Amino acid sequence: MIREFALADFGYLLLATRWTILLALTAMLGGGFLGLVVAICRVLPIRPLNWLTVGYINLIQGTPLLGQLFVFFFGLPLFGLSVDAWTAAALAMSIYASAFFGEIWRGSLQSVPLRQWEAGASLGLTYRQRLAYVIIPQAVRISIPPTVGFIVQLVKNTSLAALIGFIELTRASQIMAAATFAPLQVYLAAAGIYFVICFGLSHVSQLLERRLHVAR
Amino acid sequence: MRAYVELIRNTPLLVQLFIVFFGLPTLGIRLNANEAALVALSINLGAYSTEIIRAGIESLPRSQIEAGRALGLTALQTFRYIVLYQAVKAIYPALASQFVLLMLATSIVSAIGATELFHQAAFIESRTYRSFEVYTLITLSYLLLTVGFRGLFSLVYWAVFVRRPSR
Amino acid sequence: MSLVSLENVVKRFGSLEVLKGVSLEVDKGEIVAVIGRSGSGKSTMLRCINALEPVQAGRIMVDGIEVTAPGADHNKLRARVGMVFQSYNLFPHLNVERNVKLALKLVRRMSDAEASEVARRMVAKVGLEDKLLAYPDELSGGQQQRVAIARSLAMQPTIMLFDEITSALDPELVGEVLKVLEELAEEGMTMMLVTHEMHFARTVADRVVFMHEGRIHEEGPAEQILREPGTAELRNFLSAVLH
Repeated sequence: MIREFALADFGYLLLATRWTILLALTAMLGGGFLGLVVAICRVLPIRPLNWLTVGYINLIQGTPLLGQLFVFFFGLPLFGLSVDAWTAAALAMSIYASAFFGEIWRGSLQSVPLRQWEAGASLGLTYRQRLAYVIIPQAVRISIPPTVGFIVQLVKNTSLAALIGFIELTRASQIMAAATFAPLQVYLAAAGIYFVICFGLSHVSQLLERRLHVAR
Repeated sequence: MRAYVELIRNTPLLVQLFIVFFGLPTLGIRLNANEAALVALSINLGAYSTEIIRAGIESLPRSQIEAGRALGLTALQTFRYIVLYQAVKAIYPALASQFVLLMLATSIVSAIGATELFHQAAFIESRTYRSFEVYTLITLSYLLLTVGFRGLFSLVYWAVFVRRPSR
Repeated sequence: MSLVSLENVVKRFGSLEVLKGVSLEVDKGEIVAVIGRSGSGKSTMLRCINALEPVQAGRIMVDGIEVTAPGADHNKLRARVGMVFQSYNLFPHLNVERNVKLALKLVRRMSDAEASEVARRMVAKVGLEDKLLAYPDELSGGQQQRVAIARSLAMQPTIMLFDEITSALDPELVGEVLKVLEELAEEGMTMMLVTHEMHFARTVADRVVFMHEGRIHEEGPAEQILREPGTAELRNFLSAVLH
């Protein structure tokens, strides 16, 4: 069936986009939760745990996401788990995201100036109160731009799930390109959709940044 | 320029690759897989490094330039003797890590069958049917490359920017 | 009985001895100005009194609490000791009112209404009632420092420690901060201040303590010691800062 790329086809791409968004959201939530654990394990004053976490972060950040996707896709069945492309992609991307979120958040926490701790202490706040009311609120504000920046990466990287056969925006474009023989239009349309999502996200981050009050 | 940077940074490399490899032929530009990969990766890295370099130069305090001009240096001399070293020092770490990211991203060009490390994995895999082992090994071999390059980059950084020039 | 007492306090950073046996008594209502070159240990001494730095030897008592005792409740101590820093250290994510209210609610366990009332009064006291809802980055350095003073005062401390609080300010903003200190002095607040403002030390302080190389080198009534320094070190220091 060879035909022109039409509005209906664009609708098909948009429909596939929800899987892109869903995968990104899943990786965001799963990776966010694991990332918190990573950040905590990285700052707790327990040496062996710190080393282990650093190893984990280097392993994930030092290997390609595509490789991680394949390892999960082909690896999990060896443990008797039957996984479809969605599960493998969601798992691999959550773990991938956790290493990056963990580092971003640890960095944000440690970039709150030491004198803010002292100011809290000199008012008689307990350690926990200082953490909860003085340090963490500032760390959260500091972390917003890099966190959103990484979420943009995450959205773009969901495209790799296409290569293990998960039908999201990129895989749908491949199918569409084969059907319509109009690859240029199809892939440009896909790029356009990614652009709208990612550029929108970056824009929101910039807006947020402007109205936040953070130590300089 | 701004548009180029934003367009590239906000779309996936894989889709950029598809546009170059599958899309351009409809305009009569035919590239083989390796050429397409090279073009796409170059365009991609170009956008990211433009951004890094711009930020690096902007991060330099204006007072440094003013100090140079106040001493009677020309704009060119100020750039050559004052701005350049400090800017390169500021840019270097981000550029180095962008290079490592790009190296990891090369795995993606296997999707159009360009002959890089990951493509070899698919090749071996098709001959052996031991997907998991093969992919794990290939993935880990990237780790070696990453660690190697990171080590090299920090060595160069140390040698150029940390160690004091001989007095 | 004195409000603050230091006995042979020794403080080391690694192998560097910053306080080499410092002894000092401060009475209630007294205003003590601590002067000396940078690195002489004056800021460190202030920080030790508020338990921001642990000491290696000696004893510090503040308002009946032994700061240096093992297991001493430092948070209880700090709730009674007000401290203002050179770099203001306001909480940038909270507006002026909430900066002042935070510790009132968390430490003093005041209700929100009570805390608001105290905050309003304290901020008015430093002359910034119109800035109650401003964020720190919308204020000048002098205004930020006045808020920091109000934030400490709100806790009703028995003593205030001021660590070079005008050193980071532009010259034209120093006056407004010192004016607040003068008012506090008139109210009888016990104060220790590390300062480079010799004129202020002379007119407001009761006593001047000159620190040199980790020791209290000379001390005495402000007027007298600044006019007729007894040691060569203080004479050198004064002639260096007064020119």
